[in-house]
Amino acid sequence: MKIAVLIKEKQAPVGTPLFSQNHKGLSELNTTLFIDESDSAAMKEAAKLKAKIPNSEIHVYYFGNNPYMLRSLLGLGADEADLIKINDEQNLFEMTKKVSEILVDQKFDLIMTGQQGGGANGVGPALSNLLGVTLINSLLELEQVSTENYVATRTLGRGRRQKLTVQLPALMMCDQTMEHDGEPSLSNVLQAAKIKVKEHVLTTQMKSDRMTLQTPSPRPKKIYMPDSNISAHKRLKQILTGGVKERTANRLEGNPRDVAQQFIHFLKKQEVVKK
Amino acid sequence: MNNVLVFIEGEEGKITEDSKNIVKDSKKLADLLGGSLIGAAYSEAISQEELTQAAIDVFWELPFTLDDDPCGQLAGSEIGCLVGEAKLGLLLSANNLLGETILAIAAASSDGVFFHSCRQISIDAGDFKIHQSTYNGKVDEVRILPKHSNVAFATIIPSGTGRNPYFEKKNPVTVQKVNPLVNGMVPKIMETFKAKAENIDLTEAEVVVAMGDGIANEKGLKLVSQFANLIGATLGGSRIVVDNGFLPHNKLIGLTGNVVAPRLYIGVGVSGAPHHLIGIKESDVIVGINSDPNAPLLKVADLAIIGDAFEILPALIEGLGGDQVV
Amino acid sequence: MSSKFDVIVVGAGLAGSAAALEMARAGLNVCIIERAIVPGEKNVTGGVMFKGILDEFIPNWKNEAPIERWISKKGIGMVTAESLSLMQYETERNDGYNACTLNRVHFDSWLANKAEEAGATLLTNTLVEDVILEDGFVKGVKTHHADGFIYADIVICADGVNSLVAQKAGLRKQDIKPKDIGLGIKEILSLPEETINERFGLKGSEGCAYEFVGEFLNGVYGGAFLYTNRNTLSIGIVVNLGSIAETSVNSRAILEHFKNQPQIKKFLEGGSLVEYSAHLVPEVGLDMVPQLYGNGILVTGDAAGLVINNGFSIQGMNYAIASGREAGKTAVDCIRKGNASARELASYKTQLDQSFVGKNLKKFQNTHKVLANPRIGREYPVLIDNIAKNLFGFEDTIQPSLSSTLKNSLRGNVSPWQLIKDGFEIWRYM
Ligand SMILES: Cc1cc2nc3c(=O)[nH]c(=O)nc-3n(C[C@H](O)[C@H](O)[C@H](O)COP(=O)(O)OP(=O)(O)OC[C@H]3O[C@@H](n4cnc5c(N)ncnc54)[C@H](O)[C@@H]3O)c2cc1C
Ligand SMILES: Cc1cc2nc3c(=O)[nH]c(=O)nc-3n(C[C@H](O)[C@H](O)[C@H](O)COP(=O)(O)OP(=O)(O)OC[C@H]3O[C@@H](n4cnc5c(N)ncnc54)[C@H](O)[C@@H]3O)c2cc1C
Ligand SMILES: Nc1ncnc2c1ncn2[C@@H]1O[C@H](COP(=O)(O)O)[C@@H](O)[C@H]1O
Repeated sequence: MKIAVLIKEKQAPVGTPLFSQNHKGLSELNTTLFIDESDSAAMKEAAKLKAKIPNSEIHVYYFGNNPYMLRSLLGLGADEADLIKINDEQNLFEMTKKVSEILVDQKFDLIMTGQQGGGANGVGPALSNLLGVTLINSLLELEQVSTENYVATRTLGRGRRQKLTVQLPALMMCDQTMEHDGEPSLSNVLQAAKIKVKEHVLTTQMKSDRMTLQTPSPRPKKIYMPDSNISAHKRLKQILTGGVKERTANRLEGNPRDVAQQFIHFLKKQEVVKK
Repeated sequence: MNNVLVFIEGEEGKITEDSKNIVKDSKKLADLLGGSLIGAAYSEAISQEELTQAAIDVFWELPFTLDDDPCGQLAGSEIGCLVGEAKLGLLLSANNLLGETILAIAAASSDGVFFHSCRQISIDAGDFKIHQSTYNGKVDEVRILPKHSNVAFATIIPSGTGRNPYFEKKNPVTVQKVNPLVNGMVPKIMETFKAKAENIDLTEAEVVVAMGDGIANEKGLKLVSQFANLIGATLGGSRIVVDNGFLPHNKLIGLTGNVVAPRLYIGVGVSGAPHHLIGIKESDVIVGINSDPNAPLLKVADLAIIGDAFEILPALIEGLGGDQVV
Repeated sequence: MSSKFDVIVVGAGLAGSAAALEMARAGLNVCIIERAIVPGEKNVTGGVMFKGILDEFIPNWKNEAPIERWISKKGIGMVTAESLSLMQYETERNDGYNACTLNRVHFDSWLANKAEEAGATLLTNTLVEDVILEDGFVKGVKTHHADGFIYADIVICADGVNSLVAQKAGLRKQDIKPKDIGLGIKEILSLPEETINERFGLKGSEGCAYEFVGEFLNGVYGGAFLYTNRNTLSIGIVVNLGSIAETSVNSRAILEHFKNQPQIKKFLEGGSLVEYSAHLVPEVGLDMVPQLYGNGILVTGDAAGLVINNGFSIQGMNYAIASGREAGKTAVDCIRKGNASARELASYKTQLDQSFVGKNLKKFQNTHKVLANPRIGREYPVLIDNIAKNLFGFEDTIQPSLSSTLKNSLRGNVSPWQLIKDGFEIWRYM
């Protein structure tokens, strides 16, 4: 079975972002590199499948620039690896056509990715379309039923789950909340150190180009603003409590048994406990 | 190519809050472009009556339901085929995985350009000026896409301020049936179910119980786990409890842990330090169980239960018919 | 992939990669084990590397290696609360400079990659937890991975100042005493390249390196440094742990004190903090150097304490590379002879002693005794401040003579006899 795993090298500014090349780029002085949880989950899920299915191979495609970050993933059981150099100014979605050209003739049975590798910027769904494979997103669990058929469990959020049957070839995007354990074994790490990483530089004529990077404005909705119509003292208190508005809490005190009864009544009213 | 399409999501026939905000933004952009606004949705997603509320000119009903297309692959290809014919210049949807999947596939199949998590789109001297949120919210990127030769696809972060969006009164909407142009290997749904409490991640849980240092011993852990189990809540903890190894790190709630947004949060033996409160401020209802009446958590709680958790929890477990923890 | 190699090198720092490069070039089957994901990620240095043997070891290194700036200006500063007396030397050298400032992530990755290109196997993200000892011989190491044993005839430990492997192999009997170790605290401030060039009077990729002693230390044995990188400044202090313990001065406060000194502050104007790090550094050179070899094991770089502070600069990186290469050469001979006993590996020590590493170690063996002299941090900066203030006409007396300035400045500062004694000691040991 031929498995591909798409992983994207993530960069995060530590503290307030510093810009470079007159605001066209992020200065790498205070950014750290990391791999998103969901992409690591995709790699570990692929390794689990490889362990179960005889003569299967994992081919990692890494969007990024640091070969050592890539190597830390290869130790989980990769056989081959391609490093696809991207510069931060390129809109990754516009590279999808080129990426599909690299993948298409490999005829992968299964393409695993997280929400960053081929995920966040629509690359995963676009690839599934360009390669003509079935798409599964927000994956939590995967079981093989027969050589071609799998049962995938995905999350719909809020604790709701959906079990699907799916036929290969497929592209599956692992969810942020996917449980994943499994550490690299020494033999895999030794093998990973010797993988000849093929490098590609994607040169596509970009349709869109980056005008500037800036600190967020207009202010994103989620940032907390205390209510303006309350006293300064209360506004400060709200900010100190991380924005939890003070509520006129009613209190329950006294004998534990009575307190418990009243609280259970409250829980029933909240429909947390059935009547 | 001045028409605008907005993908609308429905819940029990009603247009979702986020979709309402996106329809409002799309209407403004359609007017700017001088084109009409087309709304598209899965069949059976939105009731006829709800349609007239939306400020759209034409409504496309896709020839399949969300259950026929669980991950949105069919809808994406379907819309992709119609982009040229309908002279679409801009396609929008709310910033979630379904919207992103549909627009990305539509863009891939019609050679358009897709932008994810946009804060705002404007038309500036014949070009699309796209304002994206990147580096998980820490940086904004502004990109320019020439309008004449490209079709833009974008998921927008709903920035509605909660006031109900602008609605024209009875708005004549022409409904167009869309005939199925695409078929493909689509996964079949076997079942949809609610996960057991211990498998629900803190970030998506509807009910969260948090264990604080006040009950940080073996007995406390057993009691609070049993209580959480009985009310189907996901168990999390404060930093001190996690650092002392009572719960794994992915169960930490707060600034350096998970931010939770449950319907109900119950903090047992949690004092409510700012670092912890930042993680629970999105909760609809906050309950605190604490022996100290002026613990900060009780000040911000909707219901403050004052007493010794080692007495209250067993009483609760008994009241809920659970078997006692020895 | 078998887990048996000719030689295992613990640590892909400067010493480790240099040793691995030497051995890989000689065709040995070498395995380097590095705990960090990216080599150099966990390594802290002030940042001035003297080229040492690199010209001969890697001939084209000046054009290949990622260098921040070439040091064309070096100075020593005596700092008092309100004054800075800076003695500096500057020269343009078109045939290349001897020292440069480095970014350890870029440089260590480059050097580790050289070793890999030569054929070495590099395992990153892998922690060495223990050595495998069989009848008195080191036979390999145990890594944190499941089934994590790797075997080799020789293990070279280049795992830095608090070398776990040397301790596990019993080469470091006693625990390191506080007085043998310096604590380095360092900040990196970002400043545009042009601002650095203007402010420090530099052109293109020229750089400057200043070291300071003075009142900010308030008696603690140590010093501060300020180096220019391409678009950042490295500023930090290195203080002796023993001296810190005695004077119970907070080392963090020393750095803050130094950064807020009026003249130093002007150097840092407008810089924003991008990195903060702290790291230990060996200090007493020869005295701390443990047993350098054993049956099947060699110790090199910081792990062997091969750092020399001659009062004018700390040098460890060049010694790490030189000692790493030396260890590599010895390992090649012993593997070829098929004998990895301590007796055979002893040639490493003799080679080292004959090289500049050993010679300098002996030469500066007692500098730390000189530098521990508290007067260097207290009285002498004030003395120099007085002399300079008067001679350069910052005071009222018009053109005072040298002798009178000296006499007045000494009064109440330090007795002439003490000055001569200190001078003689500096003369003898530095
Ligand atoms: C940089 C930083 C980041 C941090 N991030 C986080 C974070 O992400 N999440 C987090 O939780 N913390 C975080 N903290 C720690 C936080 O500041 C508090 O220390 C921590 O949240 C307190 O935990 P606690 O409320 O469980 O314990 P305590 O503050 O000790 O509270 C115990 C409470 O239990 C009550 N109590 C005692 N006995 C009983 C009883 N028998 N019955 C009922 N009540 C009882 C006490 O009255 C008290 O109010 C962070 C701290 C720092 C410095
Ligand atoms: C603040 C400060 C300023 C300095 N300034 C200068 C200067 O200006 N000029 C100069 O020449 N020198 C300077 N030095 C000294 C110089 O940094 C060191 O001498 C040099 O880095 C030593 O190199 P090394 O390879 O021996 O050790 P390191 O560079 O420390 O490398 C050791 C490597 O081993 C790895 N490792 C450690 N333990 C394990 C393990 N158990 N398993 C696997 N891998 C492991 C580490 O991750 C590291 O990569 C300074 C030091 C400090 C602290
Ligand atoms: N005890 C000490 N330990 C380490 N460095 C010292 C000590 N005393 C003085 N220094 C100075 O600290 C500075 C460190 O510079 P460097 O480590 O070369 O970047 C130099 O000026 C050293 O001379």
